[in-house]
Amino acid sequence: MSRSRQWADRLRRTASAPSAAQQSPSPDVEERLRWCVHPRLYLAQLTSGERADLGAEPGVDAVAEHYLTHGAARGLRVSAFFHPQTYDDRLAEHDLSIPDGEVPFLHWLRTGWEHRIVPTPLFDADWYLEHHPVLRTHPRWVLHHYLTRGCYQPQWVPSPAGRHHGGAPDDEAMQRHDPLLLPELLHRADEHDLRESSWLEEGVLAVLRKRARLHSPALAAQVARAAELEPGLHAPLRVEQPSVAPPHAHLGTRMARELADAREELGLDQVDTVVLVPHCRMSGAARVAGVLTDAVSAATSPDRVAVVVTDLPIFERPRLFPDGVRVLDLAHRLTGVAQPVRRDLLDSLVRSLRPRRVLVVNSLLGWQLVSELGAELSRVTDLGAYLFTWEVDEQGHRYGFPIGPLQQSLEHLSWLLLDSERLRDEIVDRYLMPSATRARLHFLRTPLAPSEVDVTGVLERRRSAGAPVRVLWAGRFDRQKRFDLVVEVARLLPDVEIHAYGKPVLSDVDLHPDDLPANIRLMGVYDGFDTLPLDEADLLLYTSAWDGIPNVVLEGAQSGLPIVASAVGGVPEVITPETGYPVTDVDEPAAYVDAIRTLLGDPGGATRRAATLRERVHRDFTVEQYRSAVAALLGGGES
Amino acid sequence: MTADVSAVLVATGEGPRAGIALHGVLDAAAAARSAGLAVEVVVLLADASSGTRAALGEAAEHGARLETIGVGELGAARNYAVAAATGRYVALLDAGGLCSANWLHAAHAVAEADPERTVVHPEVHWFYEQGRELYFPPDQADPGFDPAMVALGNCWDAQTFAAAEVHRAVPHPELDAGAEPGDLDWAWTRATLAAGLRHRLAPDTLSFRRRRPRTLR
Repeated sequence: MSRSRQWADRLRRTASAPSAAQQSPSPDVEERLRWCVHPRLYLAQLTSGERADLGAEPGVDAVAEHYLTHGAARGLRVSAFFHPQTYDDRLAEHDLSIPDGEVPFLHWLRTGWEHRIVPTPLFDADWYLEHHPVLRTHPRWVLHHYLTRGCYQPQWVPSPAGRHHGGAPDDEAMQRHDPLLLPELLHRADEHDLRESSWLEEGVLAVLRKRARLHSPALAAQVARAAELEPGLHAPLRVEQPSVAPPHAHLGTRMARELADAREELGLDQVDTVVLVPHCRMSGAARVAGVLTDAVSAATSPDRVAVVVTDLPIFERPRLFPDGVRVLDLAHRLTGVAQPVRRDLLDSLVRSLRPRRVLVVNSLLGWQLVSELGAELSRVTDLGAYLFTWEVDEQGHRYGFPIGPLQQSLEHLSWLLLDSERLRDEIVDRYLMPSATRARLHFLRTPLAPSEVDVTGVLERRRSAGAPVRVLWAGRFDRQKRFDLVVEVARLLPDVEIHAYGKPVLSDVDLHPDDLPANIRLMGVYDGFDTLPLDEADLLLYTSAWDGIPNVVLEGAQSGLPIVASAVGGVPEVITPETGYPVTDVDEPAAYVDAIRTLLGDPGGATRRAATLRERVHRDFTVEQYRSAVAALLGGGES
Repeated sequence: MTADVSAVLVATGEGPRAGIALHGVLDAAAAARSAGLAVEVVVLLADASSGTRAALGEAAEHGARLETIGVGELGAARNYAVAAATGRYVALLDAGGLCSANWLHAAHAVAEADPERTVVHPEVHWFYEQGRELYFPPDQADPGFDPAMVALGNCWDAQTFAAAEVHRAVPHPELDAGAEPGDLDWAWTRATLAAGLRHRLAPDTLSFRRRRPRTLR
């Protein structure tokens, strides 16, 4: 039996008044329950043991079943849009009441819904219709729209107290059954009995009480008298805007607490350096953020550096950052917050830490901070940013941090760090940059990660042994990385095995494993290039359409593998005809095939090139050089 | 004779609607006098536009004292207004708005409880240009109020009622030309909190304005 059928049966058996129990619940009631289940709210009322029993992220069916089995009898709330007291009050207005022993929420699903009783202060059906007239043709009760769509999308305003959240979209909220207002509802959860009410609901009720005050004789008389002088104050022909009433139901109040908690979580009063990163997941930029943080820590002290995660609450690879450095997940605390409040919160946090410098490493919010508030912020701290590459849209037009954000930020930046000389030259040339500005642009060679791996000569050994030709490809299965070229190469070289490591991160390409040629094997994610079976591959293939100096190329070079690589961005600074097999016709699969055939046709020559490359990168991309350059940039270290 | 309350209407480029604002102040002054307070009404033309000057040209005939300065920056104008006031309390009013008729005496009653530390605001701000938009400022005595939120946005505008000494102790910042509407009020709010002042509400009072400043959020 499917899980949804299990809880549907449970719904039929769950405690209800004798009269109701005789009735078989309609499929409608089961459907209504499903619309209303909000796992995160429910989990917040469980003990840690109960949450563990339910698993890390239980779905709607699991939560519904648990609620019907355990939660309903204990008075737990499974829906953000059922407020027991409000339902009780409104039911009384209909001369109805909940029979003894019946669970109020289930009573509403069966009975209240039929009477169109809205059981929450968070939704006002008249307001909703007035402000979204398109819903006048909605085929069901308008609350249905809010429950199934409106509460997951920021444009729908459900009550005179507003949206109840910061207005930021969340594309996966509907899938998770996670209404956008939940962060507000769970604010100060320890101060409320969530079975009955919450910070948000108490706040909205306060707003509604304040609005109701306008009907008091004293205020009504004052309004009427003022309207004699200024009839326009009633704003005829216009719909009313939501009311605002701090501190209740007010984003600033929650954010003030979040900021205070974030500071407390950081455990630091003041730091020398703040490094702003978007997240930490599989990307070269994340690794560079780690080595930069390491270099700054070495020049100062780990406890004088704070890393702030600004864009996505993802920190999958903490090992990229040095021990002792505090990492603050601000992105998690900004959930549901739209601009410009996000930017202002970051500004407040940065200022409160009183750093000597702030370094932006691919943090979108960080770039916004510098471009929009950099004039003010640069008066109290030095601002720096790291650039790797631009992005390219579907039409081939460049965009990204080196384009717009750089232009808006450049005058506020004390330093601009770049991982490739080519990008530096391109920016200097485009801007006809004067020498004083050029002096703020610093090319830093990203140091190699420590690795003892040396597979120099692997190609010759494998060719001598008659092993099947095996090509290694590693990276993100994203549009930038051009895995489609790998697929074409595999079709053109059916006798060659291609082992591809990695995963989609941006989900901007359609990748169907069933459609791949048989000689491509998807090997899954990897944790560090040196963990790959490098001595079981003949060469590394790199196909990106644009990049700086990519880590995977450096790591391949470090290992001694021969490399065929697209000559984009900073790649030609590493892969030359002396050190590897650069492909200049970067969009043409046949060009990669030619390069691979040339490489395979002269294993001795390919090994010599790989050895030269390995020697160069070990000479030029060292941690010592990088740390020294960063220390010089910081003024030779800190006291 | 020293007035109990100086109601100062600061006018710049509001044009004809400044007349409505003055009418509202005169009504409020009359109501306060009926409650036993001595009230002076001052109209301060701060680098006022010709339309504003025309609208308020006969203010003196309605019993208001007319002051003129060549500075339009609102912080400087408010500080001048305080300096020009003779009352123990100063009500700063804006020629782009309209106060409820009970404002002066209701605010006076609240301020009297702790005159040295109190800044009084209306219970309700009513904006109407984009459709009615109600803003209910917080009373600092509300246990849910967290002063830290003021770092993220302003809670109170500067149509305030406070002792003249309060205004002198915490003068209004004078901002540069790039400041946006509401920035001055926000800066003054932060200064008053830093100075330990308490923001309170006068029940049953309202302020009507066309547009909610961006900073009041």
